[in-house]
Amino acid sequence: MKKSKKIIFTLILGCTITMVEAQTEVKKFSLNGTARTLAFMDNLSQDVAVADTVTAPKSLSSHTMVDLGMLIRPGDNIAIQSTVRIRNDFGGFWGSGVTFDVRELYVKGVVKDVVRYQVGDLQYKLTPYTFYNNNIELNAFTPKVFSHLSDQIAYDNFYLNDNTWRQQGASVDFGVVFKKYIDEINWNLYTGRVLTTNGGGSPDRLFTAANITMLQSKYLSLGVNYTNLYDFAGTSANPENLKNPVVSGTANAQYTIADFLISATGEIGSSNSEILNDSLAPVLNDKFFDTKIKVAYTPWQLGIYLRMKSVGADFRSPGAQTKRIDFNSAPAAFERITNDQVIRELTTLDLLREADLYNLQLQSGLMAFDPKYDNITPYGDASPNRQGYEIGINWLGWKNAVKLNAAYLAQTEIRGQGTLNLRDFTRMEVSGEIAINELLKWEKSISFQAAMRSDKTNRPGEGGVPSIDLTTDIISIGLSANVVSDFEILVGMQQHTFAGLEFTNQVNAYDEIINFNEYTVDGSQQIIGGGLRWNFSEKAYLMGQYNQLSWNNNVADDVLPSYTIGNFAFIYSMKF
Amino acid sequence: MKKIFLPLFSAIVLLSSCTTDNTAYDGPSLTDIYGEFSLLNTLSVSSTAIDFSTGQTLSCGAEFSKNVNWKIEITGQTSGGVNTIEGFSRIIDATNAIWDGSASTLPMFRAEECVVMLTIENEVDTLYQNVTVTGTKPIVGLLLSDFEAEWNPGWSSFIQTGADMSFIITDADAAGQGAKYYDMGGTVDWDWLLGLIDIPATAYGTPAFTLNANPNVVYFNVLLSKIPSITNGIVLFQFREDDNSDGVYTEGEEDLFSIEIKLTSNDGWQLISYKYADLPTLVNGTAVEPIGNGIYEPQKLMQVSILMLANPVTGYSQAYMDMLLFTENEPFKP
Repeated sequence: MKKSKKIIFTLILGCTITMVEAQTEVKKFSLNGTARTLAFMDNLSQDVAVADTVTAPKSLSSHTMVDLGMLIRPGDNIAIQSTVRIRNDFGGFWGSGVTFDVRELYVKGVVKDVVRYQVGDLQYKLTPYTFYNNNIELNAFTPKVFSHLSDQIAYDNFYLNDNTWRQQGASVDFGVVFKKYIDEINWNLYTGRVLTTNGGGSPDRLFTAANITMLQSKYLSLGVNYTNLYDFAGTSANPENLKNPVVSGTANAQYTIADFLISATGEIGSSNSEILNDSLAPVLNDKFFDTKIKVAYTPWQLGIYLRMKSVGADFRSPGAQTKRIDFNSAPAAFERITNDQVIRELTTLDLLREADLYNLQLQSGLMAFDPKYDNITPYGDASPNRQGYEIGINWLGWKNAVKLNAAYLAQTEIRGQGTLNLRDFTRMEVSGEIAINELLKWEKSISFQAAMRSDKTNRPGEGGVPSIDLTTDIISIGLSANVVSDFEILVGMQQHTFAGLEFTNQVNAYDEIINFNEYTVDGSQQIIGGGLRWNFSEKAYLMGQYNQLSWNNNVADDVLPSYTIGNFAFIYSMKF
Repeated sequence: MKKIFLPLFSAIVLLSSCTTDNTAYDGPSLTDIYGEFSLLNTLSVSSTAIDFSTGQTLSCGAEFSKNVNWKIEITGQTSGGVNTIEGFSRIIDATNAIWDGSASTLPMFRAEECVVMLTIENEVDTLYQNVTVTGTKPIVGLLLSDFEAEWNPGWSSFIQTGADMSFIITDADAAGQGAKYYDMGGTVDWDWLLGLIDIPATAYGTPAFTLNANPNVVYFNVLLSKIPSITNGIVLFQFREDDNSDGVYTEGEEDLFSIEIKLTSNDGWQLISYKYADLPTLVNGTAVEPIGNGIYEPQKLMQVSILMLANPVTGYSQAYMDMLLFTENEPFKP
């Protein structure tokens, strides 16, 4: 009996060791991916004097989609990932409406445990002035209930939270560690193809990004960044070739004095944009700087910052100024309304749920934008022709249950548009989040978020030229409550009002302003919604929500009427 | 305190480097689009009498409160010739409104009274000035004829014996240049040819026309007028080269270049200009391989022929011709 116990103990011990070894061994092959079902049911109601007998008032759309990924590890230091997307629009049985796409394909690895590389699809970024995928307008004002929709858009378009751009090319990263004076130096290099030649007048267009960062110590780091969007000469019969290099230097320093953490960051650089062998194309050269000093009182988790910046009117950085939203596109749902079938403007509801309104590729020149969404930073931090300052405060308190941020920004143009008078911009922004359950010491999470932003653009008029006075205000509130088990209730509201006159630029093929269009708005859009979410696990949930968009247009004689769209959305999402 | 001084100082230095451009702006002036228009200085001309034959030019002047699209039309009261100058500016002066006696719309100007008219887009004001042209713009080039004088005795012609034949120099209608022009017309119902004129170089005292040997700088110019309601006129110009320089053109062996002008639309006078090096060889109106050595040799051009043609089934045909001229380096500017 004693002997048999020994044998059993030995077997159990052996099995345990084997299991532990099996768990620590990296799998040679694994499956991963995402699956979702999305269904929308819309109901349009227009405020028109004569009933719209042309537009169908209801709309249905739904699909099921699976991104099936394979991760293959042929060796210890190499991985191959490929993902195939299968999408089936409801009603598309027997092949019609079914699409198969290669969503992702890359190889990555490490050479000699020193040099990391990735070839194929990859995510990359540098700094907000060189290579950066800026968030969409009003992104910070999306209550959690609506972010379930926008998350799908971000996933479809590879918009990750780290503001990287999805690119196709090759990257190499490596670093060197030092014993004295300098902690380490890291090198990053990326080159990818942005456009393919058409075999005629359009050459291959490449984008190259490089960065060297020196970490001197925990107190100081310095960096140099370089990007260039350029045509690869010789890949077409056209001798005209774009080149748009951007060079910048960065510095980060921080120091602690007693309970104060003082940090300073800065970036300074320049750009050159021209089309070689094209005598008509302008040569644009300009520079920028951006500095920020922050003082944090650590016992209170209170921080105050001052930021100053200037971005030249001719500063062009495609990697940082390319926009996510293509404002020249039109929504798919109720694209045309009224008996006159006028094109419906993009609304926050469309931007929350239509992936086709977004851009995936770096663009030369400045993309169109809609001033009512953001007239101050339409191209993120790298918005050209802006200079000024920003002050802000942030606080995390009450046992981390309350988070508050507030900021005030004042900027002006550097060079006028159509006049020597300059636009003035001001922005006031406040946001907060309260974990109510932490305050009340409940186990289930209850979170309340609120945010507001008020933007103003002004320019005095002269000699018959009307003055600019555009005001946009955004208020958003949201509540999410985990009431029972894995069951959540979410409600939210976003109110966006806009009024005033602005001029938008009409540009030629070289991005030069050739005319101005009057932009008159007076209205609002409000989206209010609520939903129920059941979390099957951390990676899977089912949600039903109802949202209503109310678009109010008060501009007299405008062809676009006020209207509402009621939307029921059903979302099933799973990651594996 | 020293630790924060450096970044703070740096930030202040950077902030002080913020600059604005107070001298220029992007895009067109908004004042030009929205500003109120007013006339600051009315239309003026540099001279009320002008002699273009001596190289004089006429400049116009005016000043507005903003940039506008403006148009100056100078109209000859006798010839009917018109010259138009257009621009977009706030000031009209010698830099953007100068007249050298040319006509942008034929006929050409004569020594005559002219009216200068200034109009401004989207404005009701129309301003006038009167100018007397005492001498016309000189004609530079090898002039074969402007038909102001009598028939050149060195020329020869053939005219069919059809009905209503009129191959004459006349001033019955407005000429393309000067007062007279050559009228070619008639009805020939058995042949395309109504009549022709042969202009040999010998009529000017030389075996070949005295032209630059480079065919890329030699231009042949002629003024033709289509008669309203007549759409069947065809004028064929032939250029015979003495390829072998024997003093004789040998049919079928030496180059014969041609220009065929069909007067089917656009009534009135028009300028026809051809670079010598672009002259095709035509057979029945179709371009073919050159007959002779195929080399454009203007210095060997020994005869220019003008044939008035019309489809015999189409009835009466007529066209006016004026100003037969070779120019160098550029087409003729009437």
